Amino acid sequence: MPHGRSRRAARKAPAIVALIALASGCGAHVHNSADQALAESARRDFHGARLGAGLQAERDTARAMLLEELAAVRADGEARRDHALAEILASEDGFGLLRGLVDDRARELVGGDREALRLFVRRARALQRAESALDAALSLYRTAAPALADPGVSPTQLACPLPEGMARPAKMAALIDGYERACKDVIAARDELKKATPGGESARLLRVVDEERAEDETNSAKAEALLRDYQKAAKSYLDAARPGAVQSVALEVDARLQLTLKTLDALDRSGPTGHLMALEERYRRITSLTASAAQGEAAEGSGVDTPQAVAQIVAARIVEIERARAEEALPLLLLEADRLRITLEAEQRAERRRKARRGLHLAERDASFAEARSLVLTLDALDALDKLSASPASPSPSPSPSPSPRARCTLTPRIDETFAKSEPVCREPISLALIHFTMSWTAGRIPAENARWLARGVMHEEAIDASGAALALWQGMLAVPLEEIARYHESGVVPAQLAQILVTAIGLGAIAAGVAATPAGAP
Amino acid sequence: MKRSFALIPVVLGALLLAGCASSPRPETAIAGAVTTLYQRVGELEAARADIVRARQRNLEALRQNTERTRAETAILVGSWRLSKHDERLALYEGVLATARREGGAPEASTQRNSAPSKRRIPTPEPSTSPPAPPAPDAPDALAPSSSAPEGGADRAMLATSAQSLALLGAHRSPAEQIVTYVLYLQSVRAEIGRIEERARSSAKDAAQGATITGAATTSR
Repeated sequence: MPHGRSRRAARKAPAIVALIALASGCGAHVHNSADQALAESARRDFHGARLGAGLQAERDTARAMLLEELAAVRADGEARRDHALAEILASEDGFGLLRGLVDDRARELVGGDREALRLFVRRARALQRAESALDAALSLYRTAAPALADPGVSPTQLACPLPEGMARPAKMAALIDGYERACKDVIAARDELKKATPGGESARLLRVVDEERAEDETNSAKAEALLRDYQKAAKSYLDAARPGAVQSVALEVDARLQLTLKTLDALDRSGPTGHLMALEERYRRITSLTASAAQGEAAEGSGVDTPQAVAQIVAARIVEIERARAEEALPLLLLEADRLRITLEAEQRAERRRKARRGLHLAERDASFAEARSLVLTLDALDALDKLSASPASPSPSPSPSPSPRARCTLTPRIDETFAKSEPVCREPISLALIHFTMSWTAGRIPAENARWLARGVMHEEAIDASGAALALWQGMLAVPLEEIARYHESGVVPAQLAQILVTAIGLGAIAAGVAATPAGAP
Repeated sequence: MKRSFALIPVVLGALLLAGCASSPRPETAIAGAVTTLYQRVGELEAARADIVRARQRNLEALRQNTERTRAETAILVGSWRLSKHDERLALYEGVLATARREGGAPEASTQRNSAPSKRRIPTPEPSTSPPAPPAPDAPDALAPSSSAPEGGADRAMLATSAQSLALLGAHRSPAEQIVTYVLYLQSVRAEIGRIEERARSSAKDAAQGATITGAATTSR
């Protein structure tokens, strides 16, 4: 019954083809020229988008703009200074106007009157002296500590305030104590200054500087503690995961791994400092891992962290993905290493920018101190002039158009008239008052405004940095799969080959069906 | 028999659709990611453009303010010249010359050198704070390295790339390795998102700062 067998085989053919296709797990990849063209176009267009082409121009624009702004701010400050001086000299009551301008500025700067301004200046000077002493103590420690420390031991880094429970080796106790005393003086001077600054621009600035310092101190202290926790947990886990570890320890491996991952995660999320430390750790580990994997080193190494264990710590997500896909991990590890590198560089740059902004806030603070000091010197000079113009018995030091009998200076409401008619001894305080007032602009107000504009320029650069880092990450993450897609569509079985495969498969299927249909024992 | 063999392409097609097409479509996922990137590039560029516009407005206002102030001063000082207020003029120019000299300001001095006092002006104590970082115009450590990421993408190209991928993703399923990359990409999206958020937030702060500073500076 050959005809009947053939009909049965034909009926079974679709099922056989289906089985062949299913058996291949849909792995048979048929080449398609249109898809290849699309994939190639996707790759070409992605690279053609030139993700990295324009930010440098933006950076150049931002910097050019900053230069223009700084020049404009200086020019504006100088114009306002010159105008204020001209108005004082043109005024019918020049001395009154000068004092009024100082009063106005005292209110803006410290939210108080002349006395508040004087107190602010005294406290600011005390703080700057205390800060100088702290710098000197730190410098002494940094110079002496390496020589005093035990061989191979790095001296502990100092911070103000000192971390609680910090070790104080006997040889360095005196240096650390000296630093601690200076630090306490700075903290006390800072508090006193804050009390003397009820409001105004300086209060705002002191608050910003304080918050940034507190944030730094908290961040650093927290990150240091969490880093120690992580290092301890990682060592414990790596010891347990090492081939040949005792069985009792091996049983705890997973628990130790979980603790390690938890501590690394806590470090990562603790703030900018911890995030940077976690990134550095991951990047350091993953580069050694990819290097050893690329060289095909054996997983087992006596006394060396096992690569799998390290991968579990630094690239948990890759281990998970690979476990699910059962694929070779190296390409992903390389991708992760690249991502960590870009992120680490971005974070390091962001950290430098943050420090730059904080430095500029301090510069602005110091410039406001300088301005306040010049204003107080202006008042001092005016007071000295009052004393010279008043008779010794006179109760009022205020300028008077009529000279007292024993006064050495003749004050008139107009400053230039007084200056012209006075003896040299009286001209000096007049000159000093005017010069200190203009210096309050030149050495105080204008540099403070410059620092403020510079800080904003840094913020603009931060925005460009972060945009660039995000784009670079996207590019790194997308370029590799796009390459793979393009390569995939270049390959595959072409239709002619597929037809041949099908014919062969159907032929074989028909034979197989025929064989299956042949009764047992038939020839 | 003919009818049975005619079913073969239908079965194959159905299998391809049912079996292969139901597997993850990485091109579609990558197309989605490229589309997201297209949107992000646009958002971040817009945020940065806001800063530039705010700074330009601010700069313009500042310059106008300076011009107005200078004009007012020039009228005042000019009137002294006309009315022969020589002492006042001398005092004005002398004080400014001293302030410029003591402040070290790079101002053009066109004034007569008639400083009213030779005494050294007490200058502010040197700062004990960490030195201010160099201005960003100086070649500094903050300058991006040659390997630094740059941006400013041609968004139209990204859109075209995403379209091509989406078309591919509609009817093809490539190799396992690409699926792996897609999983990886999904796992790092949140981390990229955090950096994008920082870019947006810095841009917003800088633009707001520009406006605030401008308002403070231009008010006298």
